[in-house]
Parts: sequence; C-alpha cells; structure tokens
Amino acid sequence: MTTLTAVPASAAVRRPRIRNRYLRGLATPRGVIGLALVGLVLAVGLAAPLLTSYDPDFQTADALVSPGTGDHLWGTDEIGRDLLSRLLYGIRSDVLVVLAAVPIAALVGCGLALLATAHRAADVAVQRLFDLLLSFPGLILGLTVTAIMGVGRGTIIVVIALVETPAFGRLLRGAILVHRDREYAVAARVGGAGPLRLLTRHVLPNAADPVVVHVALAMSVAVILEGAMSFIGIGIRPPEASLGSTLAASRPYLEDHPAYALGPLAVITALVVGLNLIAEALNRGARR
Amino acid sequence: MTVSVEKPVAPAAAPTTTPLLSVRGLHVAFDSERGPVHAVRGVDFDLARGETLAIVGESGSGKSTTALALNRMLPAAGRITAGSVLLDGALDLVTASEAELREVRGARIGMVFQDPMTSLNPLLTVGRHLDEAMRAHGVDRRRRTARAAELLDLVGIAEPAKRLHDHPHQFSGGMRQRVMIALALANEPDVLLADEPTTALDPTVQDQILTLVEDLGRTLGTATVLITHNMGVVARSAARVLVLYGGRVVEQASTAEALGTPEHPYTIGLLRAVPRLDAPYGTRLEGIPGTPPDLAAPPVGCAFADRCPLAGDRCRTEQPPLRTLPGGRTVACWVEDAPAVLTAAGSRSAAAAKPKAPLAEVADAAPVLAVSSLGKVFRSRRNRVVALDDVSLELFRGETLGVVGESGSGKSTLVRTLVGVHSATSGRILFEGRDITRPGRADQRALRRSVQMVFQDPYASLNPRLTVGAIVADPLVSQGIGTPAERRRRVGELLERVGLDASAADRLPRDFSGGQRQRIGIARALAPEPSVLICDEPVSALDVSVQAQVVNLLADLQAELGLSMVFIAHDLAVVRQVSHRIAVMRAGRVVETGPAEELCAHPRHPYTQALLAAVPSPTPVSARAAA
Repeated sequence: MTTLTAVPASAAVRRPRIRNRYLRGLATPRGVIGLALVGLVLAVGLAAPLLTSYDPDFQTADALVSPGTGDHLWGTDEIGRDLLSRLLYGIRSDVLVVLAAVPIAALVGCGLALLATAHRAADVAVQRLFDLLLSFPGLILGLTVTAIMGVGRGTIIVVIALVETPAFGRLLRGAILVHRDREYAVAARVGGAGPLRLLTRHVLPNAADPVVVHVALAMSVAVILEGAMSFIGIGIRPPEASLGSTLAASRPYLEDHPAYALGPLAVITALVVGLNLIAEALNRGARR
Repeated sequence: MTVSVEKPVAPAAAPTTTPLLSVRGLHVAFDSERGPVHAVRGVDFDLARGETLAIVGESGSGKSTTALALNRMLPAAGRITAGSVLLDGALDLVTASEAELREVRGARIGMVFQDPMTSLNPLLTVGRHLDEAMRAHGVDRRRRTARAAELLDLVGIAEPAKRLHDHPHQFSGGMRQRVMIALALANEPDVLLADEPTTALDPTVQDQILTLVEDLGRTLGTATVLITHNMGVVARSAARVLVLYGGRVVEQASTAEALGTPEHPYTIGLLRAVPRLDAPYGTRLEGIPGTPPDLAAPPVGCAFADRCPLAGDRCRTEQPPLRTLPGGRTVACWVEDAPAVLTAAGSRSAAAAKPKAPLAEVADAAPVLAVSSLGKVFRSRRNRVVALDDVSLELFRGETLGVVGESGSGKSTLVRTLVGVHSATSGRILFEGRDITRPGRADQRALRRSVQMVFQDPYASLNPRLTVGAIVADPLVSQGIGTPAERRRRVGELLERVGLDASAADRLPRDFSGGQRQRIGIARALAPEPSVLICDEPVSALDVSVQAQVVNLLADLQAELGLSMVFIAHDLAVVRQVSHRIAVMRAGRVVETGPAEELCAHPRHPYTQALLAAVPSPTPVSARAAA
C-alpha cells in the first residue's frame, strides 16, 4: 500500500470559528454596520408605541407645521399630526410591505426557476414571462397594476413581487445550469443520485449563494420602490402613515421646516445603505 | 521572407562577463488572511545572453512567482520584499520606476504564458495584437504591418499576411501559442520568460513549440527562462537547470548534470517520480511522500526536511547554504553524499517492488465491458461534431485498459458514454453480456453499482459544501446501501484504504491538497464496491511526485481488488505504467490497440509512432547519445 498521507495538522487551526459562510460574511465590519443600521430602524419601528405617546393620526389644532417643541420633539405637519409618531409608524408600514413582498418574489421566482430547469418547454415559457415582466420599468408596472387593482398596500406588495420575481428566477436558473454541469454533479450522477437528490443535495446548496445575496438587495429595491410609489401617490394612502407619502407632503415646507423631509429621508437612506452593506457582506462571505 | 535582426547591438561597452540578468536575494511575499506568505525566499541566479535556463519545481515552489517578479508583473497581493534584479548589470528592476519598467517590458523582456486560450483578446485580430505590442515601443506604422507578417512567418504560421486579419478563435491552441511567442518576440527582447508554455498543449504540438523556441534562441540570440514541471521538456530544451523548492534554490547545475547525476534529495526524488517510456516495463514509480511546506510559516531549517529520507536534526534547525561543487554546480543540502546514500536505499526498494501482476489467462473469457461500433455525435443548431466514430473496445476482468490520445480525440466522450452521462448515437455497449446502451431502470441501478468513475480535476469533482465523509458516502446513500452506522464505518475503511486518515471524514474538501483530494475521489468511486473503475485523466492535474503516488495507489487497488480498469490519459508514459493493454485514439477513432509494452516498443500506426516520438525523455541528451 502507498504511504499514509497525514492530513496536515494546521488544517484544524485554520478552520474558521463560524462555520456558516453567510454568518461569517455578516461578522465582518461591513456586515455588522449593515445589520446595525437595519436593526436600528427595525427596532424603533417596532418600539413605536413606547417611543411616542401620540397616535400617528391624532391632530392638534394648536400646532400646525411647527418645528420641534417640548410636546412634539420632531414638530408637527400641516394638519397638526406629530411627525415623530408618523415617522415611526411609517417604518412599520414600510417594513411590512417589504417583508411580505420580497419572500413572495423569492418563492415564486425560485419555483419558476426550478420548473424552467426541469423542462425545456417550461423553460421557454418561463423565460418569455420574465422577459415580459422585465420589459416594464418598475414605476410603469406600478401605475399599470394600480390602474387595475386600485391604490393600497396590496397593490404595492404585488408590484414589488412582480418586479423582483424575474430577478430571483433568472439568478437561480443560471446558477442551477452552471452547477448541474460541474464535475461534482456528474460524479454524483455516476454515483447513482436521482434527479431529486442531485438537485437538493448537490446543485441547490451550491447554487443558492446569488439568491441569498439577492434577498438583501431586493429588500433595498423594495424600500425605494415603496417610497417612490407612495411619494407619487399611488402607494399607501393617507391618512395612514408611510415614509413615501410623508416625504411627498413635506415638499412645500422644505425651507421653513427641513426636519419634516429629513426624517423619512434619513430612514430610507439608512435602510437602503444598510441592506446593500448586508448584501455585499453576504456576497463576500459566500465567495470564500 | 527574412527576419530582421537589426536591433542596435547591445551596449558594446558592457563587458561580456556581465550577465544579462542577475538576480540576487530575491524575496517575494503575498498578503493573505493568514499573514504574509513567503513564496520566494532568497533566489539567486544569473542569466547569460542566449542561454536557456529552466526553472523546475512542484506547484507552490515559487517558480512562476520568481518569473513574474523579474519584471514586476506580480498580482496585486504580491510584493518584492528584498533583493535585486539587475538588467545588464545596470538597471535594478526592483527599484525601477513604472516608466522605466514599461520600457523594459515587451522590449527587453518578453513573456509567454501557460494558457494560449485565454492570453489573447478575442475581440482583436492577431495583426492588431502584434501592432499594439510594437506601437507601445514606438515602431512606426508602415514598418509595423510588414514586421507583423514577418513575425507570424517566423513562428511558422502559413500565409502570414492573410492570417493577420484573423481573430484568435480561428487559430488552434498550438497556433495561438505561436502567436503568443510572436507577440513576445515582436520587439526582439533579450529575455523571453516562458511560464509553462507547452503545459496546455498536446505532445506533438509541444514538440513543435519547443523546437520553435530553440531555433529562435539560436537565430535571434534570445535568452530564455523556461518555467516547467516537465523534466522531459527540461532535458530537451534547457542548458542549465534551477531547481526550486519552498521558495529557495535547492540545486543549480547544467541540464546533463542535474538530470544525469542529481545531487539534492529533492531533485533525485523528482526524477524518480517521472514515469519513463524507456524504463523496464513494470517498474514501480517512486513518489515523494508528504506535502510542500506551508510558506505562511516557513520552516527554520531546510524546507524539504519533512519529506526527505535523509533529513537529520541539523536539517530541521539550520538552513543549508548553497555549496559550490566542481564544475560550477551548486546544491543546498547538509548531506554531502546524498545520491550515494539514496541510491543504496533506492535499489533496496526497487528489488522489493513486485512486478506488475501478470494478467490471468482470459483469452477465451467474455469481456466485462464490450463496446462495438460506438458512435456519438453532438449536434447544435449550426454544428455537427462527430466525437466518437465506430469505436470498438473490450475490457476483460482484472485488466487495465489504457486509452491515450490528444485533446479532442474523444477519450472523455468515450468514458462519459460508458458511464451513461452521454447517450450513444449509434453502436452497442455490453456490460457482462447485457446490452446497456439504453439502460432501463434495473440496468441503470446495476450499472451504477458496478461501474464507477474517477474524475480529472480534484478541485471540481468534490462538492465543496459537503464533508469528505458525506462525499465518500454519497454513492452509498444514493443507492440505498447500508445503514448510517455501516456507511460511517465503510467511509473510515475507504479513507484508510486510499492512504488518508479516517478523521478526514469530518473535514471539508478545501482542507486538502490536490493529491489528497484525488484520493478522496478514488475512495468515493470504490464505495459501492464496483467491478469496473473508469479513470478519466486521474493524474494529469497533479505534480509528478503526487502523480506517482496516485498511479501506484490505482495500480495497487486494481491488483488487490481485482478491478477491471479503464485508464485515460494524454501522457503515454503514465498510461504504459498502469496498463496491460493500450488503445490509441485519434479524432474519435481507435487507431491502434495492443499490449502496453509491445505497443510502446513497436508502434505500428504512424500516429502512435508520432505520439511516442513527441514525448520528450527526461534523460539528458548527452547521456542518451552515450548509451
């Protein structure tokens, strides 16, 4: 028999502390900053009832478009509603939309990708469907769906899901096609793995990286899209608080009362920057 | 067409004793997560005008890094930490400015890379490539066009003026490497750095390229630094050899001395690991056990000490200095009579080596696997590629059938059709008498159990997300063999059988070297106890010292388990080493089959003869002439 090759002892030392590659990516400075930004926004949104004593829809007649005072820390809007309270509750409605829409898009997109990679005919159909969806710019799609479904939270969720579904689908389809032909997948087939085992045990764990990264990226796109739709008035309808509609309402008061616009702007920026940092951290973690 | 060699005669003032390139104390480090990796640790050498110097060593020895450092072409993570590279004894390339370096790159030092497929820009014509190389060094426009055609002619491309307008994809691999050489020579450099210029090429093409480089060296007076791991290429082309190990020079000598009477235990080991066509049939290869040192934490003593059979205490604690021996050769080893000691030890093991188990009389037995008039055609919208054309082969019980051929000969298509990854277009495959050309479910199951495969690329063939244990057990799980506890036990047995520790099961593939990964792949293939093992270029991605170990392992397993084996490779010497019979393939057809020894000694088909003639022997030319 040939010489026994000792496994290098140093290999054990080199093993990273965190085994999951995504968590390892998030444990970098980039990932921690991203998580902190998003976490902070989520925390204040969740804790809204504790942080403010005002109902977001409650109007006071004695303070209209006022800067911060003792009673209203962040001031009030043109009909006397507390801005801080509207901001905090606005985060809630925003996050709700994003958390509903992105998983729907991921599930539908990935499901279609699996279908497309299983059958040649299905592939053609799914690809043309994606082409169709991708040919609409996001806001045009938003206007079209609103015209059909009417204004409301459900509409925004549908629009975001429609925009993101092809992205998830294309990413997973491409990754599956690549990994299915890798030598280790061929080796698994020669070892007797059936189509299902090949997919779940060998192909999908390797093909999942771009999808996981894209979840974070899609959420940041969703935040922007929700803001944009509410801003132009086809999103969440007043009087319900949302970041986009608050921003839209603040426009006449930019000079006299800049804090009015700054609040929602800061929150949207923090969410988008934070989610992008998380996406990049996941991406780098996955590439190791 | 004539070649113009009208370059300004090199500064005549420089005394002839000044070497063209003088490298002293070169240190290169790469930044990594684990801190600096000291890839090159004090390399010294001189290069004279017109000389061909070979730098040899295993992967990770620092040979490519040394070459890249010479004209500061290191990747971003790498930097020269100490030393000097003097050009003409005047300009130090380590401290030179970027502007000075640009003057040198291309004009004084040309480079040829390993992979001709990716070294040319697919969007530019070959003429444009040559034009840009010359324009960068101020050759005027009219001269450039004429000279471009001259250069293509120089490197042996027919109809050069016409081919200038062609794009890289219109050239074959060998032709592209010629274009790369033409590019490197466009400005008539004094030094040509060739980093594994023929590794990606077939032997017959390699032969042409080496001849070309030699001729050019002679006619143009270009000095060549030839980086290679192939001792045959060294013997054929280089005048002097520099052997690198662990980032240091361990031996420097003339080619005849280094290959004929190597002094350093590493050089000796490296040469013993090379399979030779002229060795007696059945001689066992000798690998070098162990793995190269981790250069993030370089050893204090001799880098080779851990793998050296002669290492003493001093070797582990003190760096051996370069000793100069008579004749100007230098060697870095504490043991003064290493070759004598090793030869004594070597002859003992050679005597112990058992000859290849004679093949049982099988003349009348039915073949395990029989292929008759197998054809495979790949069709795409525009193309129709005939990959296999009327291939008939038989594999008998307990036999190793070697299949050789150059790239595109259909070797890989053949094995993939045999294991059912591709379906045959025509012909029949019989396994133990049953037709499995289009297997049904039951046949498929039987086939998966009995026919297993070892793949070429030890990095791509193991799922990076699974532990080694899960990888080896995968065929067992897929085929529903055994309980989890039984499978765990079997994995441990298999890992030990292929020379790994059973504890490897909990690790991920990335913790292992190429040779170790290939052992894991072999363990996986053996898991369902197959009767036929198909090896598709199992050692071509490995260093010679590791290749020898894996070849020995496969030969041992074949004999001990009574496997029938199909062994595919492009290297005839390796195939001869393991095979009972050899089939030579070319362009999808089998052109010759015969017993291994006889086929190599007396090839009948002209193609087999050409293939054999093109394999450079690692014996120095002078010794061959004397013999």
